[in-house]
Amino acid sequence: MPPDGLTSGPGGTQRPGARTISPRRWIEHLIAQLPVARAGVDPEGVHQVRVATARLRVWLRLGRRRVLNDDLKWLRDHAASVRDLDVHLSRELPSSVELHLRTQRSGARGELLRALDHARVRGLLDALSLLPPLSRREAVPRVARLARAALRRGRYVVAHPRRLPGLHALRRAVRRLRFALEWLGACPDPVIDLQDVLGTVGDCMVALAHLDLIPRGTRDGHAYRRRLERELARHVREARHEWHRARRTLEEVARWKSS
Amino acid sequence: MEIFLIRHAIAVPRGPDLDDAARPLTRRGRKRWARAVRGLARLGIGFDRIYHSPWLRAVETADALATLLDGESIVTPYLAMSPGAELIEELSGERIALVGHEPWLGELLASLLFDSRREPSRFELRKGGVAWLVGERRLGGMRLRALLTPKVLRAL
Repeated sequence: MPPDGLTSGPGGTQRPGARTISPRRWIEHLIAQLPVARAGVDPEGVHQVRVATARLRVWLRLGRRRVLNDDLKWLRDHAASVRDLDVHLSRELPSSVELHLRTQRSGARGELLRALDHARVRGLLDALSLLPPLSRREAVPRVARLARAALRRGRYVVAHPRRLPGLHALRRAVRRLRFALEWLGACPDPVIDLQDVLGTVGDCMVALAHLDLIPRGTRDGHAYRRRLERELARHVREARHEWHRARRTLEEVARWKSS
Repeated sequence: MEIFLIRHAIAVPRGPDLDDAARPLTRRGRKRWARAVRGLARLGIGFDRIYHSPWLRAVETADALATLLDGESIVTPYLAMSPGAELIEELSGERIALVGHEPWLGELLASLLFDSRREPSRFELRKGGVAWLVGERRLGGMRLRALLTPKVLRAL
């Protein structure tokens, strides 16, 4: 049976036993964070826009809604471009690399501001606010489907340990599952831990992709790349360990049916 | 470019306790619209973009239409108001659907056909009705290929 309980975070609290799942608090959270993201003083604003849009996409998926998903993805992608660079810039970097990343960030931030000014955001918020809550009973089997998708991705990663795109797909699948479980009321720790470590894998992969956009550089730049690659390898080993911890929980969730 | 102007399907009537924008489709409206979408599919119609109003009845209509979408759906507030240049400028794609409301769809139809909104009342789409336009994305740049009533679509 799905767990009852309270989620963490500002928007996801569901009363135990609630029959419906409302997106209202996460919509309110998104609305509150948009001006913070626009102001650009606190990087947390952009991060929270990304988090809120990702969670709302999962809510739409649980309701089998197709439209509005692309709009959320569009907004999320703009926030993610800035956020990924903020995360990368928080590291200790060679000056040559930092300079290029700041240029990339400036471009990404300009794109984000244009997106925030677009009428599509207003339409999206209006539309989300009008959607009725989901039936929890109907959402449960869809959460189980997400768990099965995560299990398939995990088995692929185990069978093909050197294929990094497989890890990327697993990260996305586990993230969706985590958010889906939180929409139902709670997410077990093994899933959270797995998602967190897959997140660090993702951060390294994104950081390496940023370096690919920088022209061939200095010895410091090469040394930094090698450091990132070693870090990635370490996080990949951690992810495999967390996968084996989480697998049983995923298998249990995969067997859920609506009562 | 082909533009399909689509009025939302049958929705719950207006009422004092229900915001106009929040009116959902009725059960009958959903069923009938689903049959109409199958009719569009039988005509070989698909879309690379669906634009839709943020109002609930348009969202639900667009959602059912999304089975014919091979591309992106985009919500725009410009389909929940009298159409202007901002809407026309926003449109892109080869075969696109615009899901919205009367009387604004009628105004848009007149504008795209005649570069005029002098007589919008001469065009009124039924709920679940489709106006199929072909031509250039500019005022007066399109011609009407077909006007498909919901009954005709369901019968296909």
